[in-house]
Amino acid sequence: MDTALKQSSPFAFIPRWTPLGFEVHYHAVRRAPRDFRTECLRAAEHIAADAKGLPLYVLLSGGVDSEVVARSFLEIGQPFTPVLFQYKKHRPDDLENVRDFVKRFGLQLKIIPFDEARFISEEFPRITRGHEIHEPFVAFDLHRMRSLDGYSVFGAGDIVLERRANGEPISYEAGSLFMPELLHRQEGGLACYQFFQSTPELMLSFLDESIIKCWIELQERYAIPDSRTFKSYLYKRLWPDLRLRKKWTGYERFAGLYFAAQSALRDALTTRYGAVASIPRDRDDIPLSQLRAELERRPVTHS
Amino acid sequence: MTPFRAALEARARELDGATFLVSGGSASSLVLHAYATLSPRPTVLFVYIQFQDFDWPERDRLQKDAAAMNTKLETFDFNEKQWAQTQADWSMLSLEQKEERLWAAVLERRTDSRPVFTGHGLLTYAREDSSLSPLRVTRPAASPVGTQSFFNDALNRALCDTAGVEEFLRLAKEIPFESLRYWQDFVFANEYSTFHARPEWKWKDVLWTLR
Repeated sequence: MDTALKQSSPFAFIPRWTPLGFEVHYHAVRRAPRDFRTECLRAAEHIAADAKGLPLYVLLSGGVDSEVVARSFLEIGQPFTPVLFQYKKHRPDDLENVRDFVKRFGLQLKIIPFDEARFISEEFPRITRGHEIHEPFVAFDLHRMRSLDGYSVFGAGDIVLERRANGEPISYEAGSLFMPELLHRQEGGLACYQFFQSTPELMLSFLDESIIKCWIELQERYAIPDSRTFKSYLYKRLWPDLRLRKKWTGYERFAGLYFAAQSALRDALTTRYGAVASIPRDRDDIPLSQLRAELERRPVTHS
Repeated sequence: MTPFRAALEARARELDGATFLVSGGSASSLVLHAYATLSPRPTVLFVYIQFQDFDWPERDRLQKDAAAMNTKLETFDFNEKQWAQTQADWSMLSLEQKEERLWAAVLERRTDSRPVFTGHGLLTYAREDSSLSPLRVTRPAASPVGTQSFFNDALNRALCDTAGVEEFLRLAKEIPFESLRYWQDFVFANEYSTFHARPEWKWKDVLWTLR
């Protein structure tokens, strides 16, 4: 990873990055975090400054995360263009959610048609060639960033706490999701892929919300696999007029294609680097306690 | 054994000689779990409705569950898109009416005369608005015409008495759960360690794709 790229990243960098795994280092919080909603607004201000006057695009999927991102920019009065990549197999409720949202707030939606089958068969191999990509999403999202002539903001990076098994520490999904933004920045583009990890204060505020603490307390007793739904209820409590919806993985609309592409990527990496066993899925997960320790590494000073 | 699990398994015994239509949702998976613990097992024909254009990662989960429990699932193929095109007034119908029609269409293709059960009738709680207003018990959705609901009053009463539902009601004072729907799967997982929480509600999603 080149030095310039390290420096451009606001709080994290990846010193070791191979298809076999990488490490994510977080900068510590610089001030006492406020509540999650306030920190979303501060993150939006931080991102708007990073865009350096470029046109700002906020990608809407129809899910709650991207709507929270868009609401954050709206609340700070930052102009942006909402963008929808319209898949061939888009779920109608996703489209309706996006249309309802832009109508409600009087926004002009930019719609970009996207043929996922054609993308996977034709463009996907071109994008992945030369990059050590092991997740189809990286290629999808790099493509989406390249399609916009400005600074694109994605509602990714929501903190997903996961339980493994009874007695094992909760882990935190991180790492590979940085890749589209890093690749895009290497090409000279600017984007924020992980809104919800764009400041360490935002991350820590999430962990300190009582609903999330509630998941941490109950996950073992009820075998609740991850914190996603509790996160949605946190959003709902902070933005009471936000409508909850059933959308979880984002790739269910073309799951067959997605898994086929993932399998092809893994096969290619195996051919290049050897046994597939050395490409662990969970290499980019870290224990929750380690995440918190990283974020709190330096003394917090009040701003 | 908890009273809820005992009630589930007593009800599963009453399925003897029946057909149970499974959608892949959590209610049908729970029934499968209850059935699989019985010895001797009652004679039940489990029929899985395979929709034509339904591509979820979760679609195979129930089939895997059934295989693990050494329970045969028959597959019933249903081309929902082709069928929806034959419904002239489709766009005028409410979601509930569409669901009713969809079930009727599935049921009329049956070739046997066994009693048919579905996973309907499960009690839920719901709020009237998006705030933290009190949750109220809502009347379970009626089973489709010509079928019987697996979840009856006795079973729903036992569900209400579980520690999991009590926990849910305590949490709901702070967390804006809109219904018990999300939490119920964890109550079920408390009864059967191999039960998996399901993120989607299959029938409603099928209807979304048909709009």
